[in-house]
Amino acid sequence: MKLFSNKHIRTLALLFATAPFTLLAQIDRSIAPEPGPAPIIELGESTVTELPNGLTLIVVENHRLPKVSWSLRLDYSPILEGATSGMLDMYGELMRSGTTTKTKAELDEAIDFLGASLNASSTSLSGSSLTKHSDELLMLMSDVLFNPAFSENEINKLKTQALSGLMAAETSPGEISSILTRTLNYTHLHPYGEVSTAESIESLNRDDFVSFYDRYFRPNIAYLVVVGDINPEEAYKMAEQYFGGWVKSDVPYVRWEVPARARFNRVCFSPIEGAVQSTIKLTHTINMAPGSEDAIAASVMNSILGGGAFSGRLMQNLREDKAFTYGARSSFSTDPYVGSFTAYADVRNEVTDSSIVEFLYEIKRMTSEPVDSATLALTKNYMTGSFARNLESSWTVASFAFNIERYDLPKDYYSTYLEKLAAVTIEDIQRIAKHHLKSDQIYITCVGSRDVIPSLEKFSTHGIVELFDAYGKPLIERRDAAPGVTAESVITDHYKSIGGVRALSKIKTLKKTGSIEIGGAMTLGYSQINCYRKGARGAHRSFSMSGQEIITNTITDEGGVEAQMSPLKAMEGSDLLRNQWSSLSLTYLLESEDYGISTELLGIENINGVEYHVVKFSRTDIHIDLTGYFELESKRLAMTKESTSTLEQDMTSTTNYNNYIDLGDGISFPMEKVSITGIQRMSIRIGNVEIDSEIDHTKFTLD
Amino acid sequence: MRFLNCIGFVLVSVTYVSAQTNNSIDFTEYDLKNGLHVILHEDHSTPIVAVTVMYHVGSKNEDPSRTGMAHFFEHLLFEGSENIARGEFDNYVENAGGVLNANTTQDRTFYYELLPSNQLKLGLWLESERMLHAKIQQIGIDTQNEVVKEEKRMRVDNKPYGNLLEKTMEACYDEHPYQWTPIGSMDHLDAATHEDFMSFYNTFYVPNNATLSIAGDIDIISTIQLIELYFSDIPRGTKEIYIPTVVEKTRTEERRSIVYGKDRLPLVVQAYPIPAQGTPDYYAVDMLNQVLSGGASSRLNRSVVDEKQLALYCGAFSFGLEHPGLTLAFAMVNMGVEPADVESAMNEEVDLLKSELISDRELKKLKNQIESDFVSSNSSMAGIAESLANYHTYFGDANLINTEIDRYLAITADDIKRAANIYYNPSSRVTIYFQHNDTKSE
Repeated sequence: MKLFSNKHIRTLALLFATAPFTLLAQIDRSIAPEPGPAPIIELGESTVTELPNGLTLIVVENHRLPKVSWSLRLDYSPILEGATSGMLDMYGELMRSGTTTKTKAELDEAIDFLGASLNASSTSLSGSSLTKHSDELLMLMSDVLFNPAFSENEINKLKTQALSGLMAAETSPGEISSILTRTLNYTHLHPYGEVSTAESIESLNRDDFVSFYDRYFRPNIAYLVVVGDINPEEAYKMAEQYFGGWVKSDVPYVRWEVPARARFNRVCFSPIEGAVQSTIKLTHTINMAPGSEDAIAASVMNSILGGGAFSGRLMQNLREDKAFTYGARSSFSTDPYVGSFTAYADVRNEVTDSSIVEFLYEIKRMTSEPVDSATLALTKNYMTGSFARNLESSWTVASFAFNIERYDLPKDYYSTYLEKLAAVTIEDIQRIAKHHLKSDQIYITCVGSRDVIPSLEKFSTHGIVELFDAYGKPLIERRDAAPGVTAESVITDHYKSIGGVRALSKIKTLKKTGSIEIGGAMTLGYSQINCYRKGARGAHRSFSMSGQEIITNTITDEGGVEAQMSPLKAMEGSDLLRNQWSSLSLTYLLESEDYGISTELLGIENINGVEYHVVKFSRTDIHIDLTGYFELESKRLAMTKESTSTLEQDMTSTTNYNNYIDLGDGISFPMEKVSITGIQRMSIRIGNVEIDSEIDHTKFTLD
Repeated sequence: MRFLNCIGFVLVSVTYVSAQTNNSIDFTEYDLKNGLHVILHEDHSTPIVAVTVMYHVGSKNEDPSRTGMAHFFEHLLFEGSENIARGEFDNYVENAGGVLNANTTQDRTFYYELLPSNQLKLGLWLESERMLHAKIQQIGIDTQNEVVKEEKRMRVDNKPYGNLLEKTMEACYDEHPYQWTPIGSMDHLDAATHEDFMSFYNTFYVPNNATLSIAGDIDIISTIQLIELYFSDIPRGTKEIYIPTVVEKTRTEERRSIVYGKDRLPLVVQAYPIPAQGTPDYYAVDMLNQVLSGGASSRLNRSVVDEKQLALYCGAFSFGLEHPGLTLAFAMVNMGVEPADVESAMNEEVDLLKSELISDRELKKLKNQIESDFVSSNSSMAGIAESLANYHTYFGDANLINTEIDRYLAITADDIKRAANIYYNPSSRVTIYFQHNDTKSE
């Protein structure tokens, strides 16, 4: 070490010589200094080649540090694990836990001895070491790639750890929130929405890992990204030497459907004992591929709302203005399959609802107001700076090359990024916000103390706070029914409470008239006639406008038809059976077996302070799934929930039977029936009921 | 006077480190007349610059009835200055394409801006404003008081095992201010008056208690001139800078406790007092911890996690502090396993190190790991600026950025065995089990 090199002696001399002159130009502290000329931002070079076995090699040369990193990445379409959910999460660690030539302990020691690192996941295998150890590292890396042992002992160890991990996650608001939003946005029918459970982890066996390895660890879907102290020629030679023998094979590709978005605002809550903060996330899916035309403008839009910058609106509003939180942000993720928009913050319990108000306000404001030019300019400057700053790491350049390859982006996508960023307009921001942000189709999720639940009802389109457990499953708090109580006794008790099975069975015809309100906007006339006489059973319902029947629905033992201001359409299959079951008898719940529908008493549930016996009516082969809620006290059927969910559509109908009125002889019927299916709310109010009066049997004709 | 002040700065020293290896970090350092220490590192590979200021104040400098002040200041000092309106601090930086943040430890508070290199002046202006005349107003105090409470809820109260450090420090220190953590007491912050804040600012936020460390695409000479312009007229502090002198008494009996909470998996924490960072034995202890938990082949991981399968994670690390700190060994216990079994498995590994020397190959492994970490450690301008400031602030020797590795490499197998015997001493140990509330009655 030498003090005062020549260079620095010059420095000193120059300093004393120039200082007084420079300093004559006094600074004015009251204004921010002007920047110097903008520096030139240079993207580093990367080279892309392909090995004969299809392995794509990306090299970014940088000799700053005597180090080289090798990262193998697999690009396959997402996998739905189903019953083996959790396998992919454990896969990497297992693959890295020993080979056919080395135990885990030997492998660990060999890697650590080099001062190197070697990590695997279900989509990657990466190693890094000083340049001088590259060969030894690659030898270990290729051993792991070609000869993973997948030993039973390691599988069992990892299972225990995964199960322990699940237990630990049960008290982590962050983990619970991430699971909740994933399952809501993507559903368990999409790979992005799957959640591992103790059962799925326990069920894993060695074959699950081996078959995944055989099928997906293939060079033709792999990239080898090499960064550091190496040139492309050397890298190619070493890639050939260590990975050239990797055998290619077709890898399955699945084009996933995009899961449907919520059709209205749903409040989804996961309670956590003793929480002092609410972990809030407002989220919905978005559909925008990486590198697509609007992707850069969308990231500007998100940055203004709550991206990285501290000056983001959510941060300024919820933290700097209101002091509700330590930080409020948003993310807008592009993805080739399905992405998501999420606005989030952890806030103290008392301001949970106030925070959601602000979130919704800021999201709506993005869509309803053009941003001002100063905000747009700041955001662009910020993003330009981030882009430049990220170039400090060679990995940024490597990831650019990787993205261009895997997403098939134009070769100049990143070299023209700053120009594209500069071209984003105020109109672009609002157009994209309007198109992609849905403040009326959003999941408002919260993980926190139960105390805050009542304050959140107002944010749900239907005024309902749905509860979920730590695994994203609807939280049903159910206790066992009293001994001796069965599904049949609950149903019979219900019929007893509205007149008794015998009295109800004596009713031959029924005529109901009233009104039906659809979506709070349209009111139509409602009428219903039923005949329960053996051999002549029939049901006819109609909605009318100015006395004109516009929608009708007719069911008999022979079949069913519906008409909606158009020709009759015959009902079939499950739909027909479902309608015949519920329309042709007044005591149909007792006759489920005749329709192949099984009944099961699930127990007692407490919903908003009222207790219900819960009975499930189901026939799986034709997807009949209806749950009845019988009030414990009155014994009456108060509500049903019926579901037919698919990936494309989450169909759950909830029907409430209100206002049971005694019509004489102890016979009573609900005078109001309110159904909510998706966003649609429909309420039928009955004004008049006639029992055993004359009815027009011609209404029951099916053609 | 102002003119004199400006040219009258004194270059206390200019250090130039010649390239010993490919990766050595060259830097220039000197003091301004007002005591501000300046460290400059020039590197043109990316057109960015890290402008940082490290104040030598952390939670250990706090009044025991006003804990949390140092960290609170870290929030407060983004509120603006005489010339920077409230809320504008962030806007200036982000408008320039930069990022900014700060963090507080027991020993120091660190502020930084990462800027495009043509915005160096902006960084200097902002940092000099913060040092010269930050605006400390009630509205900012009130807002940040709530924000800090949210930070504590998020990081401590509502986070799994979030109270681990707080409970451990509390159990390990009776006398020394390390007994509280930087987040401090919310009651103390509520009780703090405007006068308390002003006094803290005037005491600790002075040039003679700060290091300005700049790394990146700069020209040394013009940077020195700019620093002169922005910082030389900041008056030197006149108040005594409080540094605690209390020395924690050596404990002669192990302390054991159980902390109950809502987390389901038990956590076993063992803490042993160790010498202050930078002392020869500190490096021996650090190497000892590397034997125990550096990499998957380390002894605790191999034995407790892999072979005995008792824990999800098990490791030990040095919590190095300016005054004597701690070694923390901890394990997250697998479900169904008794914490006591994990504790004895951990102790077995430590006992082995007390009785047997590590092999030459194991020592070589440690040194290879140290070398590799050292090479990787100075890969960003922000990291370099912070390391230089750290080394100067704590040891008065910024060049440790290049030479500290030698102190590690000098450690022998004997040193490690000796460190195990002296410092992994059961009678000075604190052992805490973090357990679920439901286990209370048992």
